[in-house]
Amino acid sequence: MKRLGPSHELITDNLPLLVRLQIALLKGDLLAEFFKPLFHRLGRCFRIGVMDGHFIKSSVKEFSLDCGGEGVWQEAALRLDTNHPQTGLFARDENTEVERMFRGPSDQFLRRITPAESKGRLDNLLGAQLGCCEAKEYRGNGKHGLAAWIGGRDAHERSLVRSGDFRKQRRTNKGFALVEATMAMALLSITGLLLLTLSLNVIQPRQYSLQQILSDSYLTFERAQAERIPFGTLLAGDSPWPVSPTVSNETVEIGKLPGGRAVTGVVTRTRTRDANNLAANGGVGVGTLATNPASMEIWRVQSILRYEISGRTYVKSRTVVRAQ
Amino acid sequence: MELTLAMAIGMAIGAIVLAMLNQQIAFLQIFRAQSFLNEEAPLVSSHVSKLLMNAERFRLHASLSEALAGQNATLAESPVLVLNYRQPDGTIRAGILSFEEGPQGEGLYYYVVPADGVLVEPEWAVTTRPTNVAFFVNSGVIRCRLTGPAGEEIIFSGAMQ
Repeated sequence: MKRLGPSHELITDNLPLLVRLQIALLKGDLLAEFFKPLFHRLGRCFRIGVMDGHFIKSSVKEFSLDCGGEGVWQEAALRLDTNHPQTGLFARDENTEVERMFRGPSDQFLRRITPAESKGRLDNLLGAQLGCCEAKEYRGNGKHGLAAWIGGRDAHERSLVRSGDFRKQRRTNKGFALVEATMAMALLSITGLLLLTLSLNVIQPRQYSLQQILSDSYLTFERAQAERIPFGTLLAGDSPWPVSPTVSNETVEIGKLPGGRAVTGVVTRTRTRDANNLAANGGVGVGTLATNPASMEIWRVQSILRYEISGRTYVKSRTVVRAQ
Repeated sequence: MELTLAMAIGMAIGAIVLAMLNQQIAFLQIFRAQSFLNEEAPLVSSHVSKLLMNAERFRLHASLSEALAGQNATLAESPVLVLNYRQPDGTIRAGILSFEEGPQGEGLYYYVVPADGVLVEPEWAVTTRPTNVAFFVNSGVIRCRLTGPAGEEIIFSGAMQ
């Protein structure tokens, strides 16, 4: 109990006194209906009152009997102090701008209720649970005085109906949460597909370059062998490089990819004579002692490597010129 | 019903997020597994191919000390290769490619054998990425097989003139 002046007492902390006064304000047939929302919401009556951006009452100290939106008004009525500027009902016409946050900020953050639930109603100059028409009527009652508002049955009936409206609104928000979740899922799926595409775009050229390196390194062997092989062996009947257009094919392992997967290709080998070779050295009759006085025998030794990447066939060749 | 639907959607979102995470991890693993062949092998190829192609002759040894001593040359797969190069003045200078535990860890190192025959630090660390390097001879051609950290294999070859 807090003493404000010599003739007025403000009761804010004594619950039995508050209940008793509230009962006196209600008509008999509304008494039972009054206690339904009272007990239903007694556990969540901690609230924050905000008026035009200013806190007018601590959420802890203001202990409302029903969290239905008229807490400030009732407090003003309980004071029965109509001359006090903070009673609100007579001093201000804009009581409907009082916003009530029925859950804590943490509840809004966790989407138990959406911020729009209270803000939208604030924008409409409504209390948290009042409908549009109700707000207008309340505004009218506020102008007509305390007695009209307290004694009117309609005012209390509206107060009781509000709890149902609140539950209905929550159900709608749940549905909206599902839509949000579905949109998030679709967004995640699209993002995943985009990332997968980007990853493939990065990996695919690297896969190509891997095979290029392996094939290049293998062709160093073909080149070295063509340079190293004795001339007699090169010209023999069982030469690894038969005379064109005859070719010899051999499947070779050109290396291993990460994971140990072997990469294979087909090597086609052949050799072609120089046009200026003498006929005795496999020439075609073009070369004569006049054009080739040193009797040089020249062969182009060619190795062609064919391999596949992702269904595409790639061909590389190395040619070595052997002469004696 | 709403709770079931919300849980199902929540689980689906969680599964998608996990799949995306798994995809990114797999992508990074593939990317890293390919790095040896894509980034290291071309440089190794450039160095080793030139060294092998320009050598006059070669010998294979099981260890660096045997290579320096010129003992126990072999034709089997070996980690140490001695290469001889002819200098412009007609003299022969030796170089050694050795896969060993060197100053930068296990890797392929190149030594230039000094005139006094005493090796000090290697001149180059050609690569420290492969898990194994073996030199062997095929049809008279010296070949160098590098085995990468992900099991990849790449073989360079060189011919003696």
